[in-house]
Formats: sequence, C-alpha cells, structure tokens
Amino acid sequence: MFKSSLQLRLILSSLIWMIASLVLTGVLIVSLFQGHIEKRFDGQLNDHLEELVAASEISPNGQLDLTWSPSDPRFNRPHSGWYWEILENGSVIHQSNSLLMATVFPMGQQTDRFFQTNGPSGEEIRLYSRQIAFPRSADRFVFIVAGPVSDMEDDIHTFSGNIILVLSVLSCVLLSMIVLQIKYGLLPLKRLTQSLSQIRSGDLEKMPTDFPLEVQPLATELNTLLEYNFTLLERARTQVGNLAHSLKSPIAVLMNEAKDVPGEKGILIRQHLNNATDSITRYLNKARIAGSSRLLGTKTDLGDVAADIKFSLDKLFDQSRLEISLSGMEGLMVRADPQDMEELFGNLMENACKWAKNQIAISGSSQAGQVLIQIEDDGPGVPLEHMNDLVKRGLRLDETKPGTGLGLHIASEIAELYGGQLDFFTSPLGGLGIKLTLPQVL
Amino acid sequence: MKILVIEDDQEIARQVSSALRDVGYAVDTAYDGEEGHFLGDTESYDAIILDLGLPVRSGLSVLESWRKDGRIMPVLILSARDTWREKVTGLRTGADDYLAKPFEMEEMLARVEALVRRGAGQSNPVLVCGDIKLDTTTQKAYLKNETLSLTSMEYRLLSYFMHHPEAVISKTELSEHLYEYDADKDSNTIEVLINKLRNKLGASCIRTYRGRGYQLTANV
Repeated sequence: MFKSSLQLRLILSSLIWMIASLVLTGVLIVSLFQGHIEKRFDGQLNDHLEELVAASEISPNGQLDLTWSPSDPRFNRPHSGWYWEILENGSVIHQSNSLLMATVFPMGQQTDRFFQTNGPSGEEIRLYSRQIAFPRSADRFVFIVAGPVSDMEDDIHTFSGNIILVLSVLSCVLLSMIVLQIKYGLLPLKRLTQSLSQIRSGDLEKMPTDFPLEVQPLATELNTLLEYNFTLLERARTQVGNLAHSLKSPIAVLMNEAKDVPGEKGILIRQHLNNATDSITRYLNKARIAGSSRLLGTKTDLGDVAADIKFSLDKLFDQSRLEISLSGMEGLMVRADPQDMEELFGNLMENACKWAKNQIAISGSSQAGQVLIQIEDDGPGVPLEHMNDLVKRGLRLDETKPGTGLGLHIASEIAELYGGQLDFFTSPLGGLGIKLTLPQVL
Repeated sequence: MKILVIEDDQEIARQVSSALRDVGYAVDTAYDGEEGHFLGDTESYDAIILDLGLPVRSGLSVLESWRKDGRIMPVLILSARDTWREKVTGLRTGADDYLAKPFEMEEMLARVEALVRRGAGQSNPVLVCGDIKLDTTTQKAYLKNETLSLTSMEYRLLSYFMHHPEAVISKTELSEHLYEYDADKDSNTIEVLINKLRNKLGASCIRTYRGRGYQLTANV
C-alpha cells in the first residue's frame, strides 16, 4: 500500500514526523510547566516557613514561643495536607492544628531541603525543613512546613489536559494542511495521468506543455515519442506512395504497349504484367496499414469515414443508377487509424457498388463495446458455399467484373488487425451482406 | 470535343493522347502543373485528365484553383496514388472521377466519354438529333440508320453539335473545341467543315445565324 500511492506515502511520512514532534513538544512543555509549578510550590512553602520564623520569639527562659499562628486557614483544617511543625532538639514543640498531634517529620532526615514523604493520613506531601538558630537560645530549632503534592499535581493535570487539547487541535489542523498541500503538490501528476488517458482515448493529440519543471520532461519525452511514432508511419506511407508512383506509371505504359503485341508473346507479357500489378497493389496496400489499436492518440469517427467514401462513390459510380444510404453511422467511434478505416470502408463499399443493381444500404449500431456495421447490396449475391472464399487473396468469383480480387482480402486483414472481423450473409435486399465488427471506443 | 491531358510521364501522356485522338477527340497536352493550370484556365476543354504528382505545381492545387475560379469543366484524376484518402481528397477538391494507375485504356476512354457527355448535359451514350444518331461508345454516326462516313475533323464537329443539339454555337466556340492548341486556327476552315457536313447530313440540318453562329436542329 505504501508503494502504491505517492499521496499516501507522503501523508503517512508527514504524519509520523508531525505526531512525533507534537508529542515531544507536549512532553517538553509539561515538564517545563511542572518545574515551574514545583518552584512556585516550594516558594510557597518557604514563605510559610519564614512566616513561622518571623512569628517565633525566644522568651527569657529560653523557650520558643509563637507570637502568632500562621494565618492560612488550611493549617487549621484537619489532615488538609498543609502542615507545619517546630521541633526543638528532635521533639515537637509547636505544630499546626491540621496535624492532630501527629508528626510529619521523618526521623533521620536532613534539614534545609525539600523532599517528599507521606502525611499522617497517608497522602503524599512535599516538605521543607530548615534548621534555625536563635541568638538567645542554644537549642537548635527545626522548622518544617508541608503542603500536599496533590495540589501541585492537580495544576499539572489540568495544564496537561489543556496542552493535549491544544496540540490535538493543532495536529488536526496541520494534518489537513498537509493533505491539502500534498494534494496541491501532486496535482500536476494527476493532470499528467488525465492527459495520458485522454491521449489514449484520442481526445488529445499531444501532452500539454504547461506542466511544472519536474514533470514537464516526462510530458515532452512522451510527445517526442508520439511524434516519432507518427512520423514513422507518415514516412512509411510516403515511401510506399512514392514507390507506388514510380512503379505504377511504367507498368501503365507497358500494359498499354503490350496490348498491341500479337500472339503468345503478347499474352505472356500481359499475364506477367497483371501478376506484377496485383503483387504491387497487394503489398503496397499492406505496407500502408498502420494496423494497431495500441497506437496512442488515434480515434476515428466511422460516420465521417462512411460519409467521405459515400461522397466519393457517388462520383465514381453513376449516381443516377446507385443509391447509397447510410444509417446509424454518426458518432460510432473506433480506436483506429483514420486512413486504415478509409481503406476498410472504401474497399467494402466499393465492392458493394460494383455488384449492386440500384441500392446499397449501410447501417451501423453499437452494443457491448462492439461497433457493428452491415453493408448490403441488391446485386446477384454470393452462393453460401462460396462465402468463405470471398476474403481469399486475389480470388475473383466473377472474372467479368474489373478488379483485382484484393478488396475484400485487404478489408478483412485490416478488420482483423484491429481485433474485428468480417462475416458474410445473404442480404434481405437480395445481394451480399457483409457484417463488420470492430471494438468500440466508449 | 477537346480534352486536356496533364501528365508528367511523357510516355503515358503520349499513349493517352493518341488513344483519345483515335476516338475523335482533339487533345492538348501539358507536362507540368503550371502549364496545365494555364491551359485549363484559358482554353475551353470538354474534359481534363489530371495527374496528381506533377512537377512545379501539384495536380490537387491546380484543380483547387480552377474550382475556386469557377471553372467547372469535368476533371478525371489519373494517378498512381490509389489510397482512399487520396481519392476522397481529390474528389472533394472537385474532381469528377478518379482512375488509378495502372489502368486499362478502354476504361479511361469510357470514363472520359461519360464525363464529356455529362458535362454537356447528356445522359444517354447514344446522342440523337432528328434523323441523326451518334453512338459515343463506338464513335459511329448514323443518318436514318445508315452509317455515315466522316473524316476525323467532321466527326469532331458533328460530335460537338450532337452534344449541344438545338444550341446556337459561335464559330469561335467551335474552333475552340475542335482545334488543338498549337493548330492553325483559320476561321474559314470552320465554314468549309460546316459545308462538308451539310453535304453529308442534308443542308437544312445545320442552320446559319449570321453573326451568331450555327445550330444543329431536328426541326428541318
């Protein structure tokens, strides 16, 4: 899955670093905040302790008296977590009401430092003790102030909760920005794919040239390839055309001269010239076929092709005698080279014109991804047993009509190259019916 | 009837012209596109045979400029290029027929004959005017079903009249369609020809309209 989508790849990898850095940020902020809260808490403990010290007074008999009790009401609430104590040589001499005569001072602990321990009701407390000497007393007094850790933790929890909320919202925003950014960044690739499929379907002739710097070479390269294919085909066709021209003119001259050669010799010359002509026509026609449905960027409207051929045949054959009707041909699209389709339809329709008495009907339809075209005439038709011979090369079922016998053969070759086929039947019009199927472009 | 052959292959041009002359046409020949265009533009032809692959100027461009200038004489393309793309292009450009090389001379002649006939507005290959009949496929003329013996110039003249029966045709028009480009066009010879033809057909068949021309008519 990681391999299959560039977009997913980018989103997932961004997600990983984003979450990692956000978690790290959260942890850092919370720990900073914790330090800060502890410092403030310790400051508070220190303030209370100093208040106690300020309230302490050594009486003339060397006793330590408190002139006032610390004002904070939490020191009076039993087991509130807020405690204070004053020890003299290790024994308690004063303590807060909240302690209820218990002691918080852990024996053997050093003074002048903060540490954590458990209070009288088992709650965790943070404790500050300081040893203080008074001028008029030789005794050592230890002042202790404690506050509940839970106070501090509550603050930290609330803060962490807020931080998590803020960071979550931030991550959502960042994530959607990342997705948007990646989508925007990959847009040219999407367009590339679209253009490619348009070329495939023949809606576009070449790749656009306004892609970003990183993608453009690909599009340019593809255009070069398309152009190369196209020029290759064009060049082949031009060469074939030139060859046709340079061969056929001399043959035409020879054929006309040979007409006047009498006897066996004349027959021999004419026969060989005819064979040569047939071969030339056949191979040149074959060489011209582009014949690949895998050609990129080709699409042909059979309606246009049939209309062009009808226009031509109307002129080539006596229009007052023959009527060619086209129906259902408009918008039938096949992925094929237009010239190949012209040859295909030209050969099929011309053959029909040769044999028809008055009428040629061409009808098109499409179903299940196939284009179906029927070409029917009202001519003499072909007996069933000969129908399979129709596409045989050079075979002329009726030698009295002019022609090379190549038309249907070439037509069936073109149809097959494009994955289609020719079938023959007897038309209701009386003559031959040809059913041509070709794969459709949807 | 006069035909223009535009063909760069001298041998084919010669064969085609001589075949056309044999069946009674006057023939002009051009060997490149520019010359062909000029002749087609300035002379009157009853049909033109046009090759596509011509030096100097392509046959297609020649045809295109004729049609753009409103010249409507029938044009038969005679070309070695025989793809349907080329046929469609040629015919869409304004050609009336297309014959691929190599070709049978008889087929070419039949097609030219049909073009000339259709160009003159005649649909039947046997032209009839009163007692006179002209079979364009065999080039034979009949008077009351008797075969007429005609010289080639007489045949050309009769053929032109038969293609345009009842029309008053000027001497200039007649000489344009009877004489080849480089022939000596002496207008007197038209009168001589008319007289010879009158002798064979009967004097009343061809009427003279002084200052306007001649008319072949069935209303004797």
